[in-house]
Amino acid sequence: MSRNDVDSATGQNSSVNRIDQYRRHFVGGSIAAAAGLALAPGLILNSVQAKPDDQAVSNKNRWGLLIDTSKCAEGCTDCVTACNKKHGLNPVHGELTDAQWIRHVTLKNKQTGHQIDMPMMCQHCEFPPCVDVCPTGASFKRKDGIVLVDKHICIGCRYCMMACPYKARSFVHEAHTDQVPDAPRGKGTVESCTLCVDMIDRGDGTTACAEACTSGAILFGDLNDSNSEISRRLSSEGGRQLRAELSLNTGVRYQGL
Amino acid sequence: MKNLRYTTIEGNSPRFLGLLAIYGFFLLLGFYAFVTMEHEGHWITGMTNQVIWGLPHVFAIFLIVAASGALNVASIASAFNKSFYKPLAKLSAVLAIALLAGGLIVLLLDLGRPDRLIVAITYYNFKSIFAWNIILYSGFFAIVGVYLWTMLDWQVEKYKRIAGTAAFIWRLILTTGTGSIFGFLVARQGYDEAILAPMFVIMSFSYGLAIYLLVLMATYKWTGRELGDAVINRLQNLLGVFVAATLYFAAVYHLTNLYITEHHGFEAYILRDGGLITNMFWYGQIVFGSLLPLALVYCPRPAKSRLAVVVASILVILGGMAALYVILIGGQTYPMTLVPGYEASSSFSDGVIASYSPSKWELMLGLGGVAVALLIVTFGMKLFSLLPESLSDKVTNPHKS
Amino acid sequence: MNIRRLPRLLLTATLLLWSIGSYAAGNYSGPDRDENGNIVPTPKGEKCVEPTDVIRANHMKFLLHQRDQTMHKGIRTKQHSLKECINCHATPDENGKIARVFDEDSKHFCASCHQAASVKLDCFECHTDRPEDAFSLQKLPADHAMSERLAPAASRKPHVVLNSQGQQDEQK
Repeated sequence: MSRNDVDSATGQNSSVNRIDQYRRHFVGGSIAAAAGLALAPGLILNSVQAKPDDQAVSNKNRWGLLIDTSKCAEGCTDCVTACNKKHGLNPVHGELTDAQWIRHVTLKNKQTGHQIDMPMMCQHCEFPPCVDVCPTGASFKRKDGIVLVDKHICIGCRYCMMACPYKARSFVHEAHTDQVPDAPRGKGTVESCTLCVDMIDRGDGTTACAEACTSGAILFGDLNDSNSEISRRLSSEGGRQLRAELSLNTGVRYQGL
Repeated sequence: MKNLRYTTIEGNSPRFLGLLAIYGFFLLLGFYAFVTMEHEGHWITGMTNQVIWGLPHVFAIFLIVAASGALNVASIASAFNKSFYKPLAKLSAVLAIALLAGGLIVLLLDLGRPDRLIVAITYYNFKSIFAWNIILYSGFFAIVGVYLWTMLDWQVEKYKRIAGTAAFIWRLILTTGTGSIFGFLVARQGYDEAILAPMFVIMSFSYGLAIYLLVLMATYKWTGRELGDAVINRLQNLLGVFVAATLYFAAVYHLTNLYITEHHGFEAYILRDGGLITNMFWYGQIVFGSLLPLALVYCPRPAKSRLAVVVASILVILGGMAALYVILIGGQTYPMTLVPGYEASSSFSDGVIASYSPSKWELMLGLGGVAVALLIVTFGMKLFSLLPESLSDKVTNPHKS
Repeated sequence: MNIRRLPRLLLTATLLLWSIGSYAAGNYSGPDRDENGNIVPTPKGEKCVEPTDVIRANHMKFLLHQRDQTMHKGIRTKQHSLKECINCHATPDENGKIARVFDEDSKHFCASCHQAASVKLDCFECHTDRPEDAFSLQKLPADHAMSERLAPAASRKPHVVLNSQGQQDEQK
């Protein structure tokens, strides 16, 4: 990537920002390349480009995940472990009150016994009920489709947790001092999967769960880019939304349901 | 009816001070619970990531719903111009303000970040029903406050009718808003039904009146004033109508669900298999909360038996708490369907009935809210001349006796 | 009280409060320093992202502005980023220990000032008070793919010490 590309793309002249941009491109590009080599040699998985630090996200992108449940192994929790590790979600007072941004769900058909294993997380709806009900606007959707909680203005009323059809949100039930730099979280506020927003902004082109999934069941990509791997696979193979009857247009799609 | 003398309660007797001491005790308990929950975080309460709103919300929503119902007596007097109810109107308005304050304080102190009250006021998402309710609640205080002023100050008395009508309309919207908190939730099986909004309105009529009756009877008994049968009879008949109407709405709500196959699982849980929830429904809400009070109110009984009215009112209140427990906790413990036809299981209580056991902290906080409400009413009666010195039959209904 | 005196009274009160406030601000001693006058814990960079008086008076405004920019728009410039403040200022002491904000009589850069000035500091109820280096070194196993991703981030220098040659440094 040449210096001119970046300049013309952003019109930015600050030398400081330019340096950041170069590094972003360099880091993001090398990771994408490494991931491409590791997962599928000869195939370019992501055409994700790093966004300059000082540029706001836009609705040009819509980030999402495609989950192929047929590749999801029974009892495998690699994605869960990776998510917990990346976001510093350490066990505290047990399953009922600890935060679970992503969880392994096993579905069993009541008649046939057919079993499906899959990860569940925030589905990053286009029309998120949690955003509708939030009294302060703390629950919001970024322009690029990522649904987040602004914990600075979250009052901890938990109405979003009542409204979420996927039970994707957790309440921080106790004080913490072991947070990691990219995942601030604190007592009395609600939180959920951020789609690894810090990695996306850095241009990593993947999420912790997708990166950790060795069977390739989780694919991250841009749903708005018709050339992205995720869009091509969705158009050729299809993919379903969970609770599609609610017409929320989720950013996370499933195959093999 | 013309020359009623309204007076404050005297407020020095050992009984009054004892009452204050009891309120103070529960107030302190509630405050202690709040401080402890704030310090430790909510993990010490019964709430989990599955049952998000617990016992404090049962108390809070009960008090808020009852608040708008308590205004009923005043509404009948001012908005519908029934002079019989006029002597009862002032207490009705103060009780409404008191109950709302008690409910809101519980709601506020159960927030994850109650210290951010200022954020709740300054940041608004106008699509949120919660945000609407914040406006509705503050408006209720203001409008009922003005209404009370028109009743206490003869100089502004001419605006009483308008203020009373405004308060009546506002309280209808307010309870609709409270019911819509649940009625507009698509996520869960037990909610997502618009009937919840009118159901909450009719519930408020009945719970608010039951509380009003108890407060009225206690005040007249403890201050040695005369309270005639005419007042009691009218109010208890009204209570009967409201209880029956509540029962009707509950029946329609469950019959709708029973007809729709998708909701059969939820209904089986509430009506048959839910254990505590099922008992709360049948015994709490239906038998002891509705049928028995109806019998007590309408069945022939020895004349002037006040005890039956007292028991009926207490049962309506307890039944109302049970009904809200069923709606709130039952609605949350029943699992969501992720993929139709499939049973889910996970580390996050997917596909199973979630457990909820309320903690002592939540109970203490809830009772603290009740104490706040009663404290405001009691002080209100000491500060303002809310009630006539006598409500004997001769005073209220001179033509009949 | 004569109502016409009210504006003058308000003005007097405002002036009084303002002068008390500026006196208190002027008297404020700033961060902890050792006997040579150097700030402890020693910051990593050579100088702050803003002149000292500006950052001292306005750091909360910068952080608040940046907070909304980052949260809602994904703008992650480093100049006023809390993370970079911490990366630069939360450094190990001579024993290799990084002071924590919630320690009693904390030596943490933010906490030592805020405790002295009695201003409540609630950033760290959610944000970590430790620099990124502390995490990449201790917590993540080397064989994990994530340490590969975090390593370049952790070795990033605070933005002030970057100059136009920084680009070459990174690409080595």
